[in-house]
Amino acid sequence: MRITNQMQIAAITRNLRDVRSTLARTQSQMADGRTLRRPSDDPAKVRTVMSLRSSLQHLDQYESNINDGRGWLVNTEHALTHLIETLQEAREVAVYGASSPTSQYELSQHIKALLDDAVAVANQQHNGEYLFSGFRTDVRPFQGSVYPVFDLTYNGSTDTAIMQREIAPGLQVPVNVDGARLLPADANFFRTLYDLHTDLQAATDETQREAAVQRIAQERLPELDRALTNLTSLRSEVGVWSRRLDQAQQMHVVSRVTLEQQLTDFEATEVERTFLELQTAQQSYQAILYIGARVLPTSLLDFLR
Amino acid sequence: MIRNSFFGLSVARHALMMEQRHLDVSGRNVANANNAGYSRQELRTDSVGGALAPGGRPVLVRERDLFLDRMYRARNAEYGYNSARAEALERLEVIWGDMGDFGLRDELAMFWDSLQTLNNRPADHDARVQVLQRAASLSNLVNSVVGQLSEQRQDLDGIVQGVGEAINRLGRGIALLNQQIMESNTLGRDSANLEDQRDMLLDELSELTGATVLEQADGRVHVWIGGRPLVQGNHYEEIVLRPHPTDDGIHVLRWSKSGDPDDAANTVQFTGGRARGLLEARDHDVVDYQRNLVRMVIGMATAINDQHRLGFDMAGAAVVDDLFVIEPDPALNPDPDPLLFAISVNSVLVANPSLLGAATAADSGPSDGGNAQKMADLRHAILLSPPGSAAPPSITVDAYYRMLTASLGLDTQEAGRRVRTLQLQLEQVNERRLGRSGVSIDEEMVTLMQHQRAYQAAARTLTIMDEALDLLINRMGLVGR
Repeated sequence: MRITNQMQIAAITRNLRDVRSTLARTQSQMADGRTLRRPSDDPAKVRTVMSLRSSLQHLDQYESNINDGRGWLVNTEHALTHLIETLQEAREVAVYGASSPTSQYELSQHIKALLDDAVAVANQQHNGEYLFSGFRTDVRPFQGSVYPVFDLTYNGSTDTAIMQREIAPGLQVPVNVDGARLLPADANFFRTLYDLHTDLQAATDETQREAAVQRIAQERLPELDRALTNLTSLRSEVGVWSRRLDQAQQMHVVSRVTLEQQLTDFEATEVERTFLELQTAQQSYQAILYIGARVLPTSLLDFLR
Repeated sequence: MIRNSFFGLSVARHALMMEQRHLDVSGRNVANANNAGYSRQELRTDSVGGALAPGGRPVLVRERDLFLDRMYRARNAEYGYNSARAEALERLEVIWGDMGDFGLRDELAMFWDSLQTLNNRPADHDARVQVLQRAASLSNLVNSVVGQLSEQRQDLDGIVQGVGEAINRLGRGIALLNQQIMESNTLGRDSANLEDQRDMLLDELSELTGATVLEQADGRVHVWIGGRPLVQGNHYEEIVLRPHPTDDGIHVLRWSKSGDPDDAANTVQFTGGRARGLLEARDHDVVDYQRNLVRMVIGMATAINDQHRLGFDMAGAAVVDDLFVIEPDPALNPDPDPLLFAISVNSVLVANPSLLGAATAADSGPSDGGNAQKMADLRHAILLSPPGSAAPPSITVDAYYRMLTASLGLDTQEAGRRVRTLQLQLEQVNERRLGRSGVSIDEEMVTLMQHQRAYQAAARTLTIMDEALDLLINRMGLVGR
């Protein structure tokens, strides 16, 4: 085969071009540490990488949903615990009142204080929003007079108004308990406490006290027990929701690490390999330049007189 | 046998002239050593003065391999086709741009997330504004991508128009050279330079159009594009631009003389070359990705709108406004021309974010974000059929977008890979061609020396002959003088 000057030049130019494009590619990979810059760099990985990135991004949102939900649940749990303690105290007072011959007035005042306390707790707010009014978080849930006439009514929303937070893809957890569940018709502890208060207040003489003791034993105590059962089961329900948030959060921590690891595996440049590639390319670049510099200027002309 | 006394002079004269011509040819080769398209020339001669008659006519030969030319042009047509497509796809990919953090994937994710934040704090004005802002920046990005793709189509059309002009220029040039070459041949003149020029035009035309070339006995060539003659001998047919029958602002190339240029049947059919790649990119690749993207956005926005209309605003009233406004109305035209498509956020909602339907029921309260959550749930919902398929919906919006992006990456990668392979093949064929037709300086130097020596020898022969004749004429017959 004849080797002509243009051929030599074309071949050397081609080799230089190839090596320089390898140089440019490896250099930019080293520079920003990423092998995937355009979908065509590795179409097989693109879908995975995009999906990993979206998952990572959504984890942030789940995290913020969980934190938001936790605020509600923690406050609800505290409020419920407080109410349970209040009712337990009221129950002790009632049992004591039923058996004690004296100090009914002080006991009735004690119950009144507990009732005020319970109303205040049930009207508690979280970030300026009422805990127990369902969706109507701007409305004070329990309004109306307590003394001398009991007319405390629930003003929040009733129709299964449960706020939910998405804590993982497609997984939603309720984060509030509305007043209707807090205070079912057969376990309205506000009314029970009020009745208890009036019962004790009315027990001024022996006959009244007899009747009061009987009412307390037969009606108030079972009512209080029902309310306590309701509250306890609500509290454990809320506890279950809280635990789900915690579990989801732990899961997210693990997924975040895994996802970031995967993303790095997919996207990041393998420094050692790329560096080797870069070095090889540099060497062949120099070799081609050297050979070109030796071959191209040489011709028969150099040796003719 | 009696011989002409002056035979020797005549042979030497022919030899001198022949060596001179050899020197000329080598000189010309050296002078053109680096000229693109120049084919090395060689003087083929019979033996000089073998018999009584002086040698046969010397013939000037262009060193050229027709087979390599054909191979080169066929590869070149393929290369032109693939490189035009690859360039268009690479630009498409840059517009698409979805490996960084500023692509549509990112915007989509932020939009979905903003709906969940709205569910967390439906009474919060900022959360509502954020949803609208995310929706707006998603819309802007979609509009911008769709618009840039339309611009790319226009640019490709501009290049196609340029290709039409280039074909006409080449066709005209080839026809003219055909004529000149035939004239030179008839007059017995040297047509090598003209043929070199024509070969360069043919190379250019092959990359542009994938044209086929047929050599004729009289030295002319015929050129065919898609089964119709562009050049026949001294004549060529002009290609003209006509508006595309269906697409606004887009053009087609038609034959002007052999049929009515307004008839679609006379559209130029390219079998390869840049022209075909450009047309395919303009009328398929770009438009398909554009359409698929528009389909996705319409599918998603309609689903969001439908869910939004089931909601209730902050005042407790049922929603009457859509979140996204799609032009043209997808209810009337579910698969619109991307040129007409535009998406935006309803200005009524922007003016009054409390109208955003976050709640699930009338007057349910300010913390009811159930409908916002339901809109956010659409992220997991099966809303779309895979790109380019008419099957019932089977994938989510995110998955659809990922598929589309991956397939764009695959198309671009494949096209790029083919271009690199073809470029390598093309260069190899070209190197073989240069091996045959290129000038080797060393070789020419040797030839020059060889013919210089022969010239000197012929001159010496002439001198000797001259001396012999001198002896014969001036020194003979002097006996006894």
